[in-house]
Amino acid sequence: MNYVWHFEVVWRNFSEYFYPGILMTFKLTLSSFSLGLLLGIVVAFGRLSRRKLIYWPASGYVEFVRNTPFLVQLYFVYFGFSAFEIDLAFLGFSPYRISFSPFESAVIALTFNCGGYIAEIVRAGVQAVSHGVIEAAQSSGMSPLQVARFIILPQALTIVYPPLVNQLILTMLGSSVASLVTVPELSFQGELLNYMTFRTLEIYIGLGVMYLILNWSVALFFRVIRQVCFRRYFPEMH
Amino acid sequence: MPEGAFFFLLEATWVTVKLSSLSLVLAFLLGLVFGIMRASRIHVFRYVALVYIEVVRGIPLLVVLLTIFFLLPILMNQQVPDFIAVVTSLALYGGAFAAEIVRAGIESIGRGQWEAARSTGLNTWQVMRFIVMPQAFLVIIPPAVGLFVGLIKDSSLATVVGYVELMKAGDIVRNNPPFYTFGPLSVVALNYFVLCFSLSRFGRWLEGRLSQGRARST
Repeated sequence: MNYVWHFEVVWRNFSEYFYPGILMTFKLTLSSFSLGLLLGIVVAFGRLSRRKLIYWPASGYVEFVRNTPFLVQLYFVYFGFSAFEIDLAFLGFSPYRISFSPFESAVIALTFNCGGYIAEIVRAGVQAVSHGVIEAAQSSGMSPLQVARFIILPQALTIVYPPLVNQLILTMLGSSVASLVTVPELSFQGELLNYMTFRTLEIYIGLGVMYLILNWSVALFFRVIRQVCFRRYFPEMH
Repeated sequence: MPEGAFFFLLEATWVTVKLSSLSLVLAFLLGLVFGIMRASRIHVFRYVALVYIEVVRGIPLLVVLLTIFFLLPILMNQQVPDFIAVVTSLALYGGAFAAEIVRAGIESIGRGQWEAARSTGLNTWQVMRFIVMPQAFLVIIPPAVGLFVGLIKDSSLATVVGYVELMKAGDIVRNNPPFYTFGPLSVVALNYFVLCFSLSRFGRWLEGRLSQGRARST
């Protein structure tokens, strides 16, 4: 192996290339995860519903998301929708094409993707609260709101919190795929630097290290949050 | 879609299946080694396995793929076919998940089994081979099917290094006349969906069957 390493390429260009990329990755991850959380909660209750008209669309959505690659979903949003034209000639307008900017399509696809996974997490969390506990709470005279607030929420939160953090990290890793539709996030910026310098290996290894540090700090952050804010919901930590 | 494109995509589906099943096998060999190391009582083994698992799981597959793709020719000092580079990176990536699955399988077997087997005079390797692994196998199989589904989906990222599997084939159809977009993409999505959905249904069915057998035997 006779390869001369030039790792200084990575840190010399950190502030110019990688730092904006990291910010963009965070922006992408946070916006799509928070939207996905809303979507996921709605879909989770759809999957718990006994009405077929609600259950089947929600299940179809979840199964589609979980059984197709994220790349396909992203291409559907970015390339697929712009294939349709809405003909407005009879009004005297030129035909209207649906098209999203790279960032918009990445947010839409990521939201769509992690919404499906979050729906399954939330559904499992709600289902894990046993029926007997709820009935016991009701028979001790709690109102439905009190049951939801004091019985279901704390227990479901305890179950749902760790996989949700895991999903957030997976969404962050998945957001690197958005570089394929030219969203200037971390791995896209790395590729850009690669075109300028041709120090391919150093840049990709540097990218790997940066993603690792990002993940570990996100995981640490949420562990601290859990210690500080949700302490009373996690009795095993006392 | 143009004439013949459908069969081209079907062929590419077969390539995807080959790619992901080969990487699944290799990932499981890696996972077996690192999973046993992860569950072992020797500190060095445990930490080496832990570092491998944590590092690989903390890096996006895209970056793993590109790194391996450019690193492998330098390590081997010669040109490496795309197929081998892609399989290597998928196997390395899947290996980390397989290791966790194997570890969970080993740890699901109670300590009593170990102690009983040891006291009948089997050595550690024999206990692993004849007592723990046959039982852990049943626990390992259902999540392994899940890992296979994940690898099929992840193999779509081989597009970035230009290896022609299902996703890339869809790109090729899209970028050739008559430049249809939605049709090829839908066929690609449908092929992935059929593969993964049937597999995950099969995995769920298997899980039910295997846990039934376990419940009866204890």
